[in-house]
Amino acid sequence: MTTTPKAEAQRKPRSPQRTPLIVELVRKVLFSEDFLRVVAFGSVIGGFNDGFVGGVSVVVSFIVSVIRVLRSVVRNVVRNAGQVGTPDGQRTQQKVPTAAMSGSVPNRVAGWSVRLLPVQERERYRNEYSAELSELRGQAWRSQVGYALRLLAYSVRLRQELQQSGPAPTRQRDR
Amino acid sequence: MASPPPAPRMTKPTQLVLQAFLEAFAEDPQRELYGLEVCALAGLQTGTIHPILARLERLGWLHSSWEQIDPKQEGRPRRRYYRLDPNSIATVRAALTRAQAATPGQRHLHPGLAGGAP
Repeated sequence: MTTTPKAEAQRKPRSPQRTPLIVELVRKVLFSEDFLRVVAFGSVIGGFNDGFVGGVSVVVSFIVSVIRVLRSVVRNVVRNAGQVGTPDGQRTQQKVPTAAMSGSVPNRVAGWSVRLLPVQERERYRNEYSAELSELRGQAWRSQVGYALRLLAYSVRLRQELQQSGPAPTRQRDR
Repeated sequence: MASPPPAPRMTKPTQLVLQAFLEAFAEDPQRELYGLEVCALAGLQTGTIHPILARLERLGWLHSSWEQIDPKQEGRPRRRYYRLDPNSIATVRAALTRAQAATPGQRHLHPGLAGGAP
């Protein structure tokens, strides 16, 4: 007796391919935004501090990332078990998508620098950086990354300036 | 009576940026510059001037506004344009002169130093 592929598929529901937990964890840690963000910061700070502060920053960021990833894994497991979380399984706090600052490495790095700014100023600088990055698109990838890293390095200073100033007249007018 | 805002830190990059705006203003009083253009004119590296622009905007020396284009039609995002406040020209010139007098070694600025257009 022959069975059709359709019947075969009905009889044996395919289970999703599972990767070992440790591989999953390492992957999540290494590719988590927090880790990449602080590694970038560590590199920038390290550049100014003979590498020591940068090195410490990277180690601390790695530990923090591991803790955060473990916490999110545990939360997911518990939520899937139906013990906590919202009834429909959705997250109550969702991240605001940053479409303009996703994708390529320079865009992502610029996106991180935007996140360091005061909330009310992020939209403006996200658009401004996005416009400047699109102008640089014709140039070498290295110069685009350099631009994004410099944005990141100067974002703390920009944050200070913006916090001192409050909404400037032209900023208020734009909204 | 309200006291005038404190004088800004006139670092060398700040002086370069102001000089670039003054030169652009001298060419055309209506001329506006966007971030990369300012970097090129001032001879500063891209991505380093936003804190300066924010500081100058806070002082009221610069104003900024979004470019009036349709991004879909142009195929690129809108730029943020900055221009000198016409009422602040005299103040800016005076501040620049003071700063350059205080640091005579930096009187001659060199656009195109690092990454800027020659």
